[in-house]
Amino acid sequence: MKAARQETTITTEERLQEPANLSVREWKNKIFKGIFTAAAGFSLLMLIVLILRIFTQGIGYLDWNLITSFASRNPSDAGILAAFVGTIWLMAVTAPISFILGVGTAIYLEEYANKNRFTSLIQTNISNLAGVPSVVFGLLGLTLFVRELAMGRSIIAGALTMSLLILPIIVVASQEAIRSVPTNLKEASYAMGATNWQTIYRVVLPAALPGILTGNILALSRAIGETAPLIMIGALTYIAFLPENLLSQFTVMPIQIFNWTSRPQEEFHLVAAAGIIVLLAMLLLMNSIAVWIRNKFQRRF
Amino acid sequence: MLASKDNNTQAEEVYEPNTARPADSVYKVDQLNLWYGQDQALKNIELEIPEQQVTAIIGPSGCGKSTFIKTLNRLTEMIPSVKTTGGIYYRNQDIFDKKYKVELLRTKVGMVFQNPNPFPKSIYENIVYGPKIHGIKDKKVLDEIVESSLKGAALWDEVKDDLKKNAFGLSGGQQQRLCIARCLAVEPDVLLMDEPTSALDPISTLKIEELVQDLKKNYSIIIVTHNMQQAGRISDNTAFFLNGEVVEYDRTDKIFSSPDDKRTEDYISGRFG
Amino acid sequence: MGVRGTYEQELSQLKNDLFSMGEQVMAAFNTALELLQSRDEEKINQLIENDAVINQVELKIHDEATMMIARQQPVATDLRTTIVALKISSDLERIGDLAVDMVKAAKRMETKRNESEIDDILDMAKVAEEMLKEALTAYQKRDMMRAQHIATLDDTVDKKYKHYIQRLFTLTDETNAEQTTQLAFIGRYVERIADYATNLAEWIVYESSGKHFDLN
Repeated sequence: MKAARQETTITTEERLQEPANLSVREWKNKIFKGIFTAAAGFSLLMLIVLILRIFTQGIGYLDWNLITSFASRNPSDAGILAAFVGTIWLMAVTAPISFILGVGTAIYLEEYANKNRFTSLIQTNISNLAGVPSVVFGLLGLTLFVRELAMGRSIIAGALTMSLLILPIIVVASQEAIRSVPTNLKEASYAMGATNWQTIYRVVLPAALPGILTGNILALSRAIGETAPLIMIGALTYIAFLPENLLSQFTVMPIQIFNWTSRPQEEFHLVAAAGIIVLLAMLLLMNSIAVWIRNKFQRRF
Repeated sequence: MLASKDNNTQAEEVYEPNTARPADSVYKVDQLNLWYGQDQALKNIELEIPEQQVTAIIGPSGCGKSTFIKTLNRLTEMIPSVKTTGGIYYRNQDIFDKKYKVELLRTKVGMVFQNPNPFPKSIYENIVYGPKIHGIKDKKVLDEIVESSLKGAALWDEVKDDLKKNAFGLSGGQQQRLCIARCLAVEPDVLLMDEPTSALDPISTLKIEELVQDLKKNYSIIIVTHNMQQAGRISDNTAFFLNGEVVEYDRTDKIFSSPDDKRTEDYISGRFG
Repeated sequence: MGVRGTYEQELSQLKNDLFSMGEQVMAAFNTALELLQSRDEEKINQLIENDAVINQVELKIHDEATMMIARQQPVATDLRTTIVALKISSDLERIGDLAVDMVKAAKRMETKRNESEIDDILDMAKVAEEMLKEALTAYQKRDMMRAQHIATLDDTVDKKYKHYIQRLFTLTDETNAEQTTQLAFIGRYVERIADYATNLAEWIVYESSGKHFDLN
């Protein structure tokens, strides 16, 4: 025992010796750090270029007139009032529909449904729907809502189509939020004799709400920017009136912007850039609200 | 031993500890088997749990003790793959009967969990959660329930000025006593405790143990613990579980001084598990 | 109630049980001394029966202490209290047995003889009784000084015992061998009781201080 120990005795110098491949490992580390920093920098750079370009183009047309005027043949008179109000109408109708359907589905799948083939089929479908191109949803909206249900090219038809489009995102985000509610809180509620619904209403939803709301807002901000499905169902590109009810015809900002950029006159491109600034501002506002909600209600479990 | 010193003294009168068990039992478990999918977690469990006493369930990890206690209020049903056979009778009612409402069972049988799990609400809201779901709305009644429950759980003096504060601000031991108070607010008959002190420091643990001793005057308590000293300190009866079976079930005095089964002795003396 | 209120209750219950056992043994010893003179048959039988009760109490205390060790894992002072309870209860039980042995020996003696020797025994027994009483008080009050005082009393008993034995040797031929032997036994029993009382004192010191003193 003693002899064996003496043979393997390590000198202090040996202890301080650095491993043979240490410098190579440090080099590799530096290279990868460089690659990843460049990747992150590239996307940031693109964003800055985009914003700079749009601002230099559109800042001249960005004034109060832009928001209070209807579209016009004259670029200097042209505004996005109809599109702006249309977007708000569309969101106001889409939000409750998609919230109720989406959160309801998520609650059913997470809290009520037995885990069997049927529910896993639904689950798979929802995940797949999230990957379906938005044009396809437009086609569905056109056939189902505009034609079959004879809603015409109305806000309600547009909102229903948009709801279908963002439903998968909302369902998945809400499921995620509901699943992250600690089981032991639910157990505590059940163990006191609460029913499923009481537990959902008093424990699960309050705890999951921040996550659910964040998911909903992010989904809505995707809907704001969508053009294709609305074009499919035939939203107008030029209107000089405000929508009055759910069956009114309407247009939305991305369509208006698209319309302007496809015109030959250079000035309309500048108006479009101003419109994009407004759209970006709306998106930014909604995303900020989402972040704020997430931070405010973030709970430690 | 000393009585035999003189021939005429009473050799038969050797002192016998009191082994009488009261007749009333809250639970009768009859031939209970439980599977998680293909794995059998409980095998032919036969137990009777007496009223207003502390019954401890001890055994090494994975012996089925937590599963067993969660079967008593049918909380195992939350796991989809669970299958049970046999019967559990709570106050002579078959809890697996289709007509028997699981909400009623869980109202009568409160549960305290391994990790303190207060709701992310105020102390007050935590206590009134149970009464509210059972339809009590009167503010005055709720206030009284809060006070009596917190007193029952020996927490009132520590929190009476902070009832509106978030329960997460309490220490681990206080949170666990809050969870006990939350159970008491529903006025249960039985308290199930699933390793209630395993996440707590020694002093908090002793406080909970003391509380358990106090609570058994009004409640029947079943406590799962992997700490056999704890079972020794606080329980009246002890069941030793091993691999999903009950190896030995007897008075705690008997189990801890002269168990019948060699495996029980090895476990409580720390030779395995 | 403290953090371990129930356990503390059990502990003080144990001490109380032991103290009342001590009182029973004291009473038995007193009765035995009375019976040295009167030798009332009925009372002697009563004393013997009562000894069985004392034995039961000892077993009860033994079981209480065993359970406490098994279930509460006492440490430090609590541990010493528990262990000392075991020790003291067995010493007390022996004292009870000796009291019975005294009257049994007295029963075998001829009556109305050797009155003055019996007076000697009673004189010695008075000190032993005092020691026992002091020990019980010291136990109840955890009083180390009182316990140490008992040791000096034991020296008195030992001296008296020595004189007493010497006196037995000088007895005239009138006293037969049987009578002398019984007298010697009774004296020896009293002296043993005093020794046990000293033992109690040692355990009481140990309970308070954790140190062993040889007080003999």
